[in-house]
Amino acid sequence: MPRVRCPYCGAEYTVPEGVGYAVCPYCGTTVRIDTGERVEQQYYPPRLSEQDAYAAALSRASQMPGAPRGLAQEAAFARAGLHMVPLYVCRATAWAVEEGCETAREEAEKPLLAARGEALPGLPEDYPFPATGRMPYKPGVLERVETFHQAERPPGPLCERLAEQAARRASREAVLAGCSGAVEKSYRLLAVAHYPFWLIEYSHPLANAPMKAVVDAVDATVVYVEYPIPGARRAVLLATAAGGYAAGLAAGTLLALLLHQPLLAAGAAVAALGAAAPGLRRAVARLGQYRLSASPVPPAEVRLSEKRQA
Amino acid sequence: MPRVAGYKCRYCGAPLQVGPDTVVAVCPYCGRPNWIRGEPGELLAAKAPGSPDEVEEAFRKLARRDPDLRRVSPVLARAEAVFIPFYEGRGLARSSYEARGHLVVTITRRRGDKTVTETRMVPFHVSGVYKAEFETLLVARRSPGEEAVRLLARHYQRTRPRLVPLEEAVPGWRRGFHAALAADRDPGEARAWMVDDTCDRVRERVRSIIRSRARATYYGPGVVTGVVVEWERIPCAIEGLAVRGPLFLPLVKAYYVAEERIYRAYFAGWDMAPLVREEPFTATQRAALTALGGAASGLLGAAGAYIAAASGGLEGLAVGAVAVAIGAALGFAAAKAALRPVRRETGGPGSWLTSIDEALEEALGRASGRY
Repeated sequence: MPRVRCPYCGAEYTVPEGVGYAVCPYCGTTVRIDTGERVEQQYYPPRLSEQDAYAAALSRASQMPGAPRGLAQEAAFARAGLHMVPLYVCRATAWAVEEGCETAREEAEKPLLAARGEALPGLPEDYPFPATGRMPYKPGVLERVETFHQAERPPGPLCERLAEQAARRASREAVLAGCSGAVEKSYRLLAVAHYPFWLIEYSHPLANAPMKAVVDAVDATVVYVEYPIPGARRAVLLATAAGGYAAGLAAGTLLALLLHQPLLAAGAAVAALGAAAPGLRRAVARLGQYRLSASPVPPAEVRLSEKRQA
Repeated sequence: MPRVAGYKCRYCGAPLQVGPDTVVAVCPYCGRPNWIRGEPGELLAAKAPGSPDEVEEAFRKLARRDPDLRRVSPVLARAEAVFIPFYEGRGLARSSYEARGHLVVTITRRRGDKTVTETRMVPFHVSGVYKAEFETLLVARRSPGEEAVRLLARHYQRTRPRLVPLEEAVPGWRRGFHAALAADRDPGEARAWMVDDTCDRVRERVRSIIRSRARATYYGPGVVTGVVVEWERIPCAIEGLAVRGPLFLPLVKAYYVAEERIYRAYFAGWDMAPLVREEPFTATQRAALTALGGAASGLLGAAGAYIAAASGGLEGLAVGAVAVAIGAALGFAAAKAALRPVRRETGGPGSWLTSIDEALEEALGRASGRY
C-alpha cells in the first residue's frame, strides 16, 4: 500500500492500492497521488451538535417496531466522532452536435460519494447529498474531526456516468426534436468535498455491546441506528408476522372452499410466506436496525393546462 | 466567483452562510436579503406566522380534528418557519408530434365448441399539435430537498397566496423561529431548468396521447391489447416564458412529542394548511397492514394455483408461478411497510388506516395496544 506524507501536517499514512487521491485522515488535505499536488477542496460545515445527533438517533430508534419502551431514558451516551466522508463534485455537459439542434443540451452537477459504500454503517451509495452549502476547505477550520475517510473510488467512472446520463437525456431530446441523436459530452471534476456525519455509540441495559448510529451532521437525517429488541417485543413481532401469514392462508382457504379446489390453499400457503418474512426476520435479529431509504424528489412542480388541439 | 469566506450581512454585520453558488442569502439575525451575485431586485414572499404561538394554535386545531393525533395527546415541542426560495415560470408549450407503429389486436372467436384466439398487428400513424399553458415552480436550490417542499409548491399553485416584499412577510423577524434558505440558482439557470423540466412533462403527456389516439384509430373486431411505437417525433417548443423570483414561500416545521417520541409535521406558512406529517404507527395499525398484505398475497397465491391447475400445460404452470410470486412480493412489501418507524400522512386529517384501527379496537373492546 502506498505511503503518503501529508504536505500540510506532515503526518504519514497509507492509502489503498490504486486510488487516485489521498486524503490525510488527520487534517483532510487531499493530494493527487501521481503529481503530489493539492486539489481544490470544499467542505460542508457541520451544523448539528453531537448531543442533538444522539437525540435524533434515539428518537428514530424509539419509533421502530420492536424497540423497548422508554429507550431514550434507559440509553446512555458512550461516544461520538465526526467523520468526514469525501465526495467528488462533478459537472457534466452534453449537447447535440447537429446544426440547428442547439436546444438539446443537458447539464448536471452533482456531489458523488467518493468513499466506499460502507465507509460508515448504513450509508447508502445513492445518499442524496445536498448540492449546496459547500464552503472552501482549509485544514484546521474544523475541530474535533475523528477521521477524514479516503476517496477510494476513482472519480473518472463516477463523473463519466453523470456525463452519460446527461448525454442520454440530450440525445433523447435531440431525437424527439427531429434531429439525429448524435451528442458530445464532457465532464470536469470541480472539487473534492468533505461531508460530515456523526458516528455515535450508545449503550442500553438490554444490549451487551455498544450500539451504533450514523447521523447526517448537516441536516440531522438519521442514516442508520441500532436498537435492542426485548423478548416481549419479539413476541409481538412474531405474532404480527404469524397474523399476516394466517390472513393469507385464511383468504386462500376460503377461496378453495368456495371453488371446491383444495389445491388453491397450497398456492396461498406459499404466497403468504412473503407477508410473514419481514416480521420474522426482525423478530430473530440480534439487534434491530433502521436504515434510511431515500427517494428522490423532483426539483420542479410543473402544471400543464391543455388547450384544444389546433 | 464571489469571495465566500467571512461574508457578513450588510445591514447588521452578522455572519452569513454563503456558498460558492449563493445568489441571495437572507440574514438569519435580521431577516434582510443580501444579494451576493446577479442584479439585486425586489424579493417577494408569502406571509408567514409571526410566532410559535400561531403554529401551536394551528397544530392544536389539527390534533383536535385528526383522530390519530387526538388519541396520543401530542404536545408541540418546537416550531420554525423556513422560507424556501422558488422561481415561478409561466408560458406556452407546443409540440407538433407524429408517431408510427403497430397495434396488437387480440380477436377471440368461437368455432363450434372451441374458442380460438388470434393476434393481429395493425399499423397506425398519428400526428397532431399539442398545446398547453404551463405554470412551473422550481426550487431555487441545487438540491430540491424533501417531499414537503414539493407539497409546498403544489399548495402554492392551488391557493395562490398574495405575495408581499420579503421584509413585510413577517410582522417581526424572530431569530431561531424564522429562517430562510439561500437561493443558489440565478434566473438564467432557472429558465433553462424550467424549459427542460416542462419539456420532459410535455413529452410524457404527448406519449400517452399518442398511445390513446393510436388505440382510437382501430375500429375492427377484437380488443387492442398493446401499442408498439416504432418511430416517434415529439419536439418541444416553449413560447413566451416569463420567470419571476426568487419568491420565498414559508414552510412551517412543527416538532411534536407523542408517547415520549418526536414527530414532525409540516404546514404551508401563509394559511397553515397541513402538508405532510409523521404520525405514530400503532401496533394494531401495523398488524392490520400486515394482515391485509397477507390476505392479498393469499388470494393471489390461490389464483396462481387455480391457473396452474386449470390449464395443466407448462405455460399455465409458469403463469400460475408468476401469480404466486407477485402475491408473495405484495405481501412482503406490505409487511415491510408495516415495519416503518412512522406513518406519513399528507393533507388533512384521517386515513384509511385510522378507520381500520378504530374498527379493530372497537371489535376487540380494548384500549389500543401499542409497542
